[in-house]
Amino acid sequence: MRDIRSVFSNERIRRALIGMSTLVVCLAGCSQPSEMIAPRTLEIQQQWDLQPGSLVGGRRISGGLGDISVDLGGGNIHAPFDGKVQPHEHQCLIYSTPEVPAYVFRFCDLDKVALGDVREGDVIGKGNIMQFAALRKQPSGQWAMVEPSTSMLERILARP
Amino acid sequence: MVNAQQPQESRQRQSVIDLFDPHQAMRRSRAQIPMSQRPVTAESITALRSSVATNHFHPPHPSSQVHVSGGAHQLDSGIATFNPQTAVQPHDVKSVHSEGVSTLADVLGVTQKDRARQRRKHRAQQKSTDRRPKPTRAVRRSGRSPNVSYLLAGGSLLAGLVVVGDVGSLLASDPVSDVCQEVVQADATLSREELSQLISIPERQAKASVREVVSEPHCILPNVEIRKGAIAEREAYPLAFDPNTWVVLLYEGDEYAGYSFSFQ
Repeated sequence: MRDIRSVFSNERIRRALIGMSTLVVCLAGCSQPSEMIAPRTLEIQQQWDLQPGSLVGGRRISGGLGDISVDLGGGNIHAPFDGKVQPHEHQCLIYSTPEVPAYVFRFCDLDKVALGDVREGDVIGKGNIMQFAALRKQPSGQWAMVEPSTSMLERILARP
Repeated sequence: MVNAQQPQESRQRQSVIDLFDPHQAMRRSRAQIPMSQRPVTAESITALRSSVATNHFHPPHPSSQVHVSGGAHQLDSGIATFNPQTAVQPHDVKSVHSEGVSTLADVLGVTQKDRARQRRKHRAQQKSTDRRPKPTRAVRRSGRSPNVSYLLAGGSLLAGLVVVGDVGSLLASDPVSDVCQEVVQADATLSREELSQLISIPERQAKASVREVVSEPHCILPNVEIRKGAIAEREAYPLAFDPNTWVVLLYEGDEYAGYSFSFQ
C-alpha cells in the first residue's frame, strides 16, 4: 500500500487539502448555526399536569401522555422525509415535513441533534431512551397526541 | 621499526609518517629512540609542503601503507587536510628508491600504479555512496514532520465530511414533483382564489368540501400510515402564480386533515 506520507508529499494534493480546509472554514462561517433555528411552540390538546420536563421529588419527568419510550441503545434516529427539525421545550425537538401535512413528531431526550433542514434518512439525533410522540393538528389550532403507526416508527428508527 | 642503520630515504619517509601520526611517534619515543636518530629532516618537510601545495592530495589507499589516525590533520593552513572517513590503518612502509621527492606519494613510496588504484577505489566508493537509497520526500522535507502530515490528513478528512454534510444541507429538498407517484392532471394548478378558499377550510372537514374548491390534483403521492389504522392520501398542486411552490393536501379516508406548502 502506498505510504500516506508519500501521498501527502505531493504538492498539488497538499494545496488541494489546504484549499478544501479553507472552504470548510468558509462554509462553517456561512452556514446557519444551530442557535439560529427558531424554537417550535405548540399547544397540546390533552393537558396533563405531568409533562416531560416536570420535576417531581427532584426528578425530571421524561415522558408523559402519548409518549412512546424507545430504547435506542445509543443508536440514531432518522428523518422519515425531507423536513425540518426545530428545538422545543424540555430537551425535546419538533420534526415537521411539508410532505405530511397536519402532523408533527416530537422527540425528547436525544443527544447530538441535527437542527434545521434535514433530508430523508438524515440522522436527527441519537440517544438511549427516546420519548416519541405523533401529534395531529386540530381545527382549533391545537395539536392532539395520536397513536403513531408502527410503520412510521420503523421508518424513523431504521435508515431508509 | 626504524633504527640507526636504515638508509637516509627510509628515515625521511618515516619522518613524514610521524608528522601525520603523532601516536606512532609517541610509540617510537617510548621505544627510547635517541633524539639524534629522529628522522625528521628539513628536506623532507620542504618536499612534502611543495608537493601538497602543487598537487591534489588524495586520501591514501590501504595498500599505500599510510595512516592518519584521529581524523583530519592540517599540515599547514590552507594546504591540505585528511578526511577521517577515508583514513586507513597503518601498514609496513615501502622503501623509497629515488632521492627526488616530488609528491607525498613519492615520499611515502607510493608508485603511479598504486595511485591509479587509489583513484579507482575512491571513485568506486563515491559511486557506492551515491547508490544509497535516497530519502523519501517526506523525510527530506525539513519543515514538516510525518505527524503533521497525519494531522493534516485527518483534519482534511474531517473537513471533507463536514463539507459534504454542509453541502448536503445546503442543497434544496427534493421537489414534491419528484415524490409524485402518479400524475393525475399534468396542467392542474391552484389559482389565488382557489388557494384562498382552501386555507379557509378547517381541518377534519369532509373531503368533498375540499373537492368543491379545488379540482383534480397535479399528482398524488404514495400513501403513508402516520396514525395507526389511518391511511394518509396525499395530493399535490403547484401554484399557478408561483410554480415553484406546491401545496400538499392530506386526507385520511373521507376526512380532510390539512395542507402544507412545499417550496422548491
